[in-house]
Amino acid sequence: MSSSIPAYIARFIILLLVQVLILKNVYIYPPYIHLYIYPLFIFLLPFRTPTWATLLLAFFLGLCVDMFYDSLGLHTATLLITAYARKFICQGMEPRGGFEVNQSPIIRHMGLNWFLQYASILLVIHLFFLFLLEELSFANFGVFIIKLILSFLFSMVLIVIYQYLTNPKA
Amino acid sequence: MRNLVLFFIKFHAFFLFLILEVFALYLLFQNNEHQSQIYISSANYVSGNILRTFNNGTKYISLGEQNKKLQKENAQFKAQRPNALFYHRVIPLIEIDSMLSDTSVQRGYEFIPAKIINNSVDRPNNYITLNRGAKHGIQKNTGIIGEGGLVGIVRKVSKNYAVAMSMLHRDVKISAQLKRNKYFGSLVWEGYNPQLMTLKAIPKHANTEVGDTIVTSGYSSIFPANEMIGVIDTLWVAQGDNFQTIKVRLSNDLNREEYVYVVKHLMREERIQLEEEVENE
Repeated sequence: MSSSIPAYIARFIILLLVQVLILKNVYIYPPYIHLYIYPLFIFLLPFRTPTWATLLLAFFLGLCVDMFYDSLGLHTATLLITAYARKFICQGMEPRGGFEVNQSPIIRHMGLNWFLQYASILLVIHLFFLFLLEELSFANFGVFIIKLILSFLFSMVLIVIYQYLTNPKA
Repeated sequence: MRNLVLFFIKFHAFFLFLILEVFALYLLFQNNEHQSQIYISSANYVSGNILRTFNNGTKYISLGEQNKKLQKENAQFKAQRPNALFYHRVIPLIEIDSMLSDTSVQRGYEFIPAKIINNSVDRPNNYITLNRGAKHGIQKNTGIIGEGGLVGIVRKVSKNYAVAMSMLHRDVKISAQLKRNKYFGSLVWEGYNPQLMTLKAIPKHANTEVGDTIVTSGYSSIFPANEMIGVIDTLWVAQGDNFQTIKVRLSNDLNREEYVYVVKHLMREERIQLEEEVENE
């Protein structure tokens, strides 16, 4: 892990900049499609990352995203929920023999099928809480669901493309 | 005691999550707009510089279109100058000069040119970042005007940057009036459509029609009077309501605004002080 720390720092910066400089400015009317790729940083952390480290990273990444979105606390609170949920999703999706020491939740190690299930659950959790905290109501429940589904599909495509483009090894 | 320590060690992740989450939610729900928040906004040194640098790289894409806009605006200003007017009475040149330096007229507003370096229109509350700040004379709670319409209200100012609520923000409330018959109400945004805002509190008996022009009233110190906002798109009176609900189609496209002007009300302090004095009486 120590040898791959520069790679993680690079991933952190790349995902953050792609999110706030490019995806933030993608605007499709009606505004139901919101693209989010930054949670991928939390998704891709190795299985053996201690939960406290995941949480601190989520907190820091969330603050950085909030800084550019001028949405103080919104993405921080949401990403913390996602990061904490990751612990239980990983436990629930552990193969019978357990994870290997150096395994990460990436397509290369776990296969596309496993990764899609894993990332889908986390992304839905993330988007659900994000839109809920943003709107603070279910008043427009139909819009909420449409926004959730469309944003999920398009963000998921980006997340998979990102992995094939960068092909992370750990 | 030992058990307590063990308990905390066993559930340390949960407690860390709880502490951080409560802190994040506190940041989200606190309502006071404290100046220290500027450090966690797009107006701080790091994020402001990143946005400005990226913007410098991409601004060339729309250069042609922006040029045309500015030229059009210039032409409008040129047409307003006294020497562009046609006088039916023969006026000596000296008189025109004296019209320009009339001492009974005092400048009430200045406009600080700025560029938008961060913007969105698709969120429930949208914010705008400008590449100008306190150093350039921008103050809190001042209006931003774009090409042919309103853009937003400055909320936080750092040395070099300013963050503003876009017109497309749920907390925005602008005093607006019908240009034709001066009925006034407050203009708010109800979300989703970045072209439509809602004008409230226009009485039922006011004569309004689709297509009527809506302008600023000048009743607040944020925007000057008679700035163009938009035209009436649809209107109706809800049953049992004494007021009309009016949807206003904005005259500018907030998604495409780039070069804007921050309104500097030169007699603002005096006005606010006076209004506060009366309110506190």
